[in-house]
Amino acid sequence: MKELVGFIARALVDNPEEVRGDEVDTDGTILEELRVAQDDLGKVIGKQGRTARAIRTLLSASARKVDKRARLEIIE
Amino acid sequence: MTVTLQYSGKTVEEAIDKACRNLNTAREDLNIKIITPGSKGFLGFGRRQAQITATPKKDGSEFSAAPQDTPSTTEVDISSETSQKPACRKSKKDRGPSYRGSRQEPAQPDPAEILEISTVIKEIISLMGLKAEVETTVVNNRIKAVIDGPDNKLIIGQRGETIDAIQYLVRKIISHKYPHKLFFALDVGNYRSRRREELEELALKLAVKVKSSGITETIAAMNPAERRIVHLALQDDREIRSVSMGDGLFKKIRIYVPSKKGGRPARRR
Repeated sequence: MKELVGFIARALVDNPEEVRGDEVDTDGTILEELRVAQDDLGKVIGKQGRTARAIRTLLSASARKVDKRARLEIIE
Repeated sequence: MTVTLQYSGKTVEEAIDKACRNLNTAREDLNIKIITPGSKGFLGFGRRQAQITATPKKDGSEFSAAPQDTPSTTEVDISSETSQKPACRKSKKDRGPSYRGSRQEPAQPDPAEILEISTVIKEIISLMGLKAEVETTVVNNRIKAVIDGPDNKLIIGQRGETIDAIQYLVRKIISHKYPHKLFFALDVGNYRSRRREELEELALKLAVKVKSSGITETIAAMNPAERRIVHLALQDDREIRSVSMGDGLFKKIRIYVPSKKGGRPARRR
């Protein structure tokens, strides 16, 4: 799931080498932490958070497949 | 040479809309900077306009091709009042005829782009831990990708939210690399056509109900593509009207008999 977030984020930003992802799994809930370059924050969030919401939607579907929950946090 | 234009509106959204309409460009092709986000105020007090600047993105060939003697930063203040419309029209004229229209017909897609789309979709699905085949076709120069496999239900999601999210992200990813306008649609199994039939059926059923009772009916919030299906299904029926209600991407549709409700403004589109 870390790879999913990383793949999408790297494809959206101007500085893919600065994309960092962390994954913390605490009993059934996976927390994905995404860090991108300051200038790219808007690209992974999108207008009105639409891009972030879309990534979260994919993450939930992916987590549901393995009976887990997932959260995405974009770290500033 | 880049052109930066300033727009304002009641909300950032409205200002961006104006920028797009004014520049005749898709939102994705504009770099937008928010100067002030604006504020709705309280009971009409303390209302502030949202201000943004819009710069066409790097594929500015069309923009730089246009004769541009104006300074690189032109201020165009268009507020919602119609009285200020001329400013809008004037700046459009300045820009020259080399603009691509929003109703532009798709050009033949680049094979590399089609391959890229299919690769990105496959990669996303496999990284999601799901199994499916992806078939990409080109119909009337529009790229169509169909996902099919044992995980279809998960890929569609509730009321299509997952498939819509994938389509949105693929679109974003591809237009990040290929800046021209992209004609691309994503389907899972035959979800889209099934949903279309469902919506058309619902629209016609409600139309009958509204006509016999005279009572306005509402359909739950839908995305633009789905609203379009409903509006198109009802547009030839002279006895009723359909209108989208609400803010943002998802709006409800209200179906009503025009004489009722004391002269609601005729349909907007």
